[in-house]
Amino acid sequence: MADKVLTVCPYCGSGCQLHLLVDKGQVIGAEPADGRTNEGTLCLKGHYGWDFLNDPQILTARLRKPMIRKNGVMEEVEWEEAIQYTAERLSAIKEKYGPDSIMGTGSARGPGNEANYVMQKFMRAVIGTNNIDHCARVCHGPSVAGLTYSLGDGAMSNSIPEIEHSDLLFVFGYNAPETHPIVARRIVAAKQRGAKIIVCDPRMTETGRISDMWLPLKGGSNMALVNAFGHVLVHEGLYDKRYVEANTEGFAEYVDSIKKYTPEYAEGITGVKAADIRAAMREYAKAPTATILYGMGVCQFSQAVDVVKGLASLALLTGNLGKPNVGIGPVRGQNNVQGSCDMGALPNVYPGYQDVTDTAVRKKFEKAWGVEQLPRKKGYSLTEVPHLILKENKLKAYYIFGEDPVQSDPNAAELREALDQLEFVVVQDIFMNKTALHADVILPSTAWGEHDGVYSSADRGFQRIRKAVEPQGDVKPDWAIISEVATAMGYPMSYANTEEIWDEMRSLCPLFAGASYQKMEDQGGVQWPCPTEDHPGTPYLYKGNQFSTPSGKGRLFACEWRPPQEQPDAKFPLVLSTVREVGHYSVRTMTGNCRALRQLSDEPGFIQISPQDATDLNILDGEIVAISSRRGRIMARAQVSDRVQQGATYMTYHWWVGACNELTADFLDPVSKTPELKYCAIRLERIADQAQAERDVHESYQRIRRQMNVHEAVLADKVTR
Amino acid sequence: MSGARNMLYRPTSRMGAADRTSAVASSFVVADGGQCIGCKACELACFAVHSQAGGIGASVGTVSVPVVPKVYVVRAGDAYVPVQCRHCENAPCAHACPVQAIRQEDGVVMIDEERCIGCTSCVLACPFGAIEVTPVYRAGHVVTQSGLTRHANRAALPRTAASKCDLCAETADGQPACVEACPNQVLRLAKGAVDSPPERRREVFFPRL
Repeated sequence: MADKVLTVCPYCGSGCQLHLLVDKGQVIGAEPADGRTNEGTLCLKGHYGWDFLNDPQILTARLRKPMIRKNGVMEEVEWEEAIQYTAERLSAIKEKYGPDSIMGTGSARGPGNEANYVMQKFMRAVIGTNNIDHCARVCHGPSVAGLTYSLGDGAMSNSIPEIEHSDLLFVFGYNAPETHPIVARRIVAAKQRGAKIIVCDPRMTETGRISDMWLPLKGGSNMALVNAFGHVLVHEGLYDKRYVEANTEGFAEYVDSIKKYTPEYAEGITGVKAADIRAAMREYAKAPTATILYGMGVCQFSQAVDVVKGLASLALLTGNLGKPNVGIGPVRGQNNVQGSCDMGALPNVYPGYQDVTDTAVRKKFEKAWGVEQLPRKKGYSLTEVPHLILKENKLKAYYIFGEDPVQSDPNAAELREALDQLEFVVVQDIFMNKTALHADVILPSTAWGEHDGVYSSADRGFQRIRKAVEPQGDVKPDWAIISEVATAMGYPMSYANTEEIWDEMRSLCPLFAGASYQKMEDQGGVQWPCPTEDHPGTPYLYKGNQFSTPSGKGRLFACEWRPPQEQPDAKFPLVLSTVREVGHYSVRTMTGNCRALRQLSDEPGFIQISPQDATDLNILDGEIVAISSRRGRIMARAQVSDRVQQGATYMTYHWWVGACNELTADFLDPVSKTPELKYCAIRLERIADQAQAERDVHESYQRIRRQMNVHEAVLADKVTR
Repeated sequence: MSGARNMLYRPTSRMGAADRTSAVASSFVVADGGQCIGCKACELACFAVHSQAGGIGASVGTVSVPVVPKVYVVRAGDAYVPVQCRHCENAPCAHACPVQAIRQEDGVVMIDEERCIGCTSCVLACPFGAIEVTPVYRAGHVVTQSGLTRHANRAALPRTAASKCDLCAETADGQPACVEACPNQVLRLAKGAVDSPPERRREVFFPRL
């Protein structure tokens, strides 16, 4: 008879609770639990995404033993040697080049909040730098920056269940059915209850299909469209004058900034009909309750922060904040990207979003951590790393914890070059991956299902994750590894368990102070802010329209539209945008090692193109094509889709052979440093000899898997063919 | 109506009024394609439950055979919709089967895998494309047939049989797995539709209207 262990899904940020069924020390199944956000439902990743715990080596091999590069080759060593070596090298580099020559990452995936807390504490208190960041930088960094400016908090203002009860859903650059099927369920339910749905997306999506209005804007024209929306609200007098007067600031400047963005002017830039822009805003302003949901279609542009502020302004203008079933929701992609931000794995804030440049805050942490002086200036952003290494020669060591930047970050070739130029690279992870190929030390850690902790769901919900099985091999929990390195570097860290870490964190963060393990146990979860022991948590933010900005008011903002940085030309005539697909996740080390998910789609991945472009290029659906940009060249399978506009193409970043980040550009938003992953120029070429192309794909897939320590016997097995 | 066509749609039995009340009419899973988001949770749930019954593995995560579900999410025009067997009253697949491998039990059209010869007649006869012929797996391994070999190396070929939705008859715990798994509650088990009065029928097919 199987045991049931209640935990939280390790994939998207929906925060679905599930039971893992454990028999004889192995997970044998998953059942949905009645969580706050999922209410007894799961998507296919929740149901079948746990197979990777068994180390099937379908894609890559689990890391089971610490490794050190000796004479150019990775050799297995004992923990003591690995920890000692890591500590010595980091200490030497700190001594020689100063603490700011070392960079570290948090991990928005399985490790959980406690491990992220320990990691940022390690970087700040032990290394002595604020150079800590994580993959929120390549996704919702602009939300944190933009919403903090406009409203005071960088998180979803509403909760996921509230989406269902909103009268209007305004979905901008967000494809919930592929990225968050369980949030998509709320959108479908809202529709069934009679809600109006407006979708702004260049592609027809599942949400677009059930929408009342679909505005197919041209890629990269977001700011112009959002400004035009503001123009309609103001110039047609649709905005809530009383609300704006009482609760916002910057209205006069706002009106000035949007003056020239008439719907007709915006039509020329966005391709969306002026009448549709007007109609959409009339509906949005009219709805008793309206919620904005947005995703990477907003954030992965070099003008992302401005657009986030622009969207927040629409909610402020119409008074759709500070009460139930309204608000603005940046729906977080990775299961714990909200948590890694909460825990201060960011270069500018301590845990609980407390400013590193604030003296009083710094004093508090100095005292609590027993450090004479914590670093005073903000640290580097993750996306600046290649530039800092290759151009400015500022970074010498990189401690990469639970991330695979070679796969997930733009311009992979440049990143590889940067890693190789570093003096010391530490990779701490559960699977062999493309980044680990460039490591000097590999520290193997426990995976989701093998340790305890807390995740934060996309809507600020702390939930407990629990250990279900004993890890195989010589691995340790992430927080324990980091603590041992810290101790070896002369800063003793010893925690008995994750609850001890959590309680230390709570004692330093007013926002989270009342969110104890016990309360999570009793309530199933706690949404922050939760300032005191007797506070139940906060489903929606800004009650009574008290914003967390310095003045307590919401700030309106608009600015000039700028076109994306790299435009198509004769040599690279098409535009590439990165997207998601439902059955795989992120860098795919986890879902790619689940037999069922892997079989639903596999290498080399797809590139979606319009029927017109396919005809022009003489490409058939399902054929392998060559794709190149100014930065690299890869192969993928053509997927001809009438949902795609002519000139636009779409790829997912899950694939190894069809790795679209070999193509993407590293232009950054100036504020959040988020790369423009949704827009770069590419060229597509037909491959005449398809049989040879198929063989090439197969061979390069097998070659990569060999590099990933997959056993020869497994490689030859029939399942892998 | 031509004779052949008449043959194809001939009623399976001649029942009187008394028979009708006691007859079990067909059940089938009906999908609201308009609300399907194409997430494929039903496909995996279907495969998982059937591989369990087939003794392949504890569940989908620990099996080593290809994932072959009995429901497929297909895109029809602009919408996604899960397609599976409708368990037709006058099942054309059963009429087309030359070896009587298809029968109806308690309103469920079932395929006897042992008896099936993989001739694909049912695949051609099915108006919904709900049947396919797939290799047969037992306990994690493909079942081969020694009599039929691949010419070049004399390797035994897999035994194949028709495969389609059986409303999870093997597990028989009420709800089909796909209905349980769907996060959007798009799938419903429509039961006894034909024997019901019109009002009931409307409720079964269009509960939200």
